[in-house]
Amino acid sequence: MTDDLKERFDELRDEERRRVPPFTIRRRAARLSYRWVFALLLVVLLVVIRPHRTTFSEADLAAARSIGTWHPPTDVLLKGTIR
Amino acid sequence: MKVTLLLLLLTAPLIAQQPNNNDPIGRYLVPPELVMSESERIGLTDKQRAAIKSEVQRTQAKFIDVQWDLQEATGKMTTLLQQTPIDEAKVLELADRIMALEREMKRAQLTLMVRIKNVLTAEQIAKLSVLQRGLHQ
Repeated sequence: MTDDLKERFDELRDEERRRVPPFTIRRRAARLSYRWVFALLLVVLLVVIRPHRTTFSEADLAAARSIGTWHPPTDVLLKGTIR
Repeated sequence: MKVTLLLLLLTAPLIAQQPNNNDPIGRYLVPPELVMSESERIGLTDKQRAAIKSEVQRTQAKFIDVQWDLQEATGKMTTLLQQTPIDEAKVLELADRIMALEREMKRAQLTLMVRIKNVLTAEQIAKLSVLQRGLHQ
C-alpha cells in the first residue's frame, strides 16, 4: 500500500517536472533582453550627448543676406535718386 | 570664361553687400553672410557658429515683425502720395512712423553686426578683411 502510494507520488512528480516550463532559459532570455535595452540606451545616450557640429543652413544664409542687404525705404530721400 | 562668369555670379551677392570704403560705419563691420559663408576658411569654432546662428535667427524674427508694419505704413504712404493735392500733415505723420520703424530695423541690423564681430577673434576679422578685399578686386 505504502509502496503503491509512493509510486503514484513519484509518477505525479515526474509528470509535474515534465510540465514545468524551462525557467533557466527564460531567465537567460530575460538577461539577454536587458542587455539589448542597455545597449540601446547607450546608443541613444551617445547620439544625444555626442558633440554635434552646428552648421549654417541655406535658410540661415538667406536670413543673413536679407538682414545684411536691407535698406530703409526712405533712403531714397537722401540719395537723390528721385527724378 | 565660364569659370569667371560662375565666380562672378557666386560672389555677386557678397560684393553687393560689401561696405564701401567711403562708408564711415560699414567699413568697420563684417557682413553676416560673409562670416557664415567663409566659416570654414576663417576657422569658426562650434561655439562661435552657434552664437552667430542664434543671433541671426533672433534678428530675423525681429526683422520680420517690424517689416510687416513697415510694409503696411509704406503702402499707406504710397496711397497718400498719389493724391492731388497731397495731405502734407498725414504724409509727415506717416513718415515719422516709417522712420521710427526703420530706426528699429537699423538698430537690429547694427546689433547683429556688432555681436557677430564681437564673437570673432582678431585673427578671424583680419582674415575676413583680406577676403573682402579679394572680393572687391
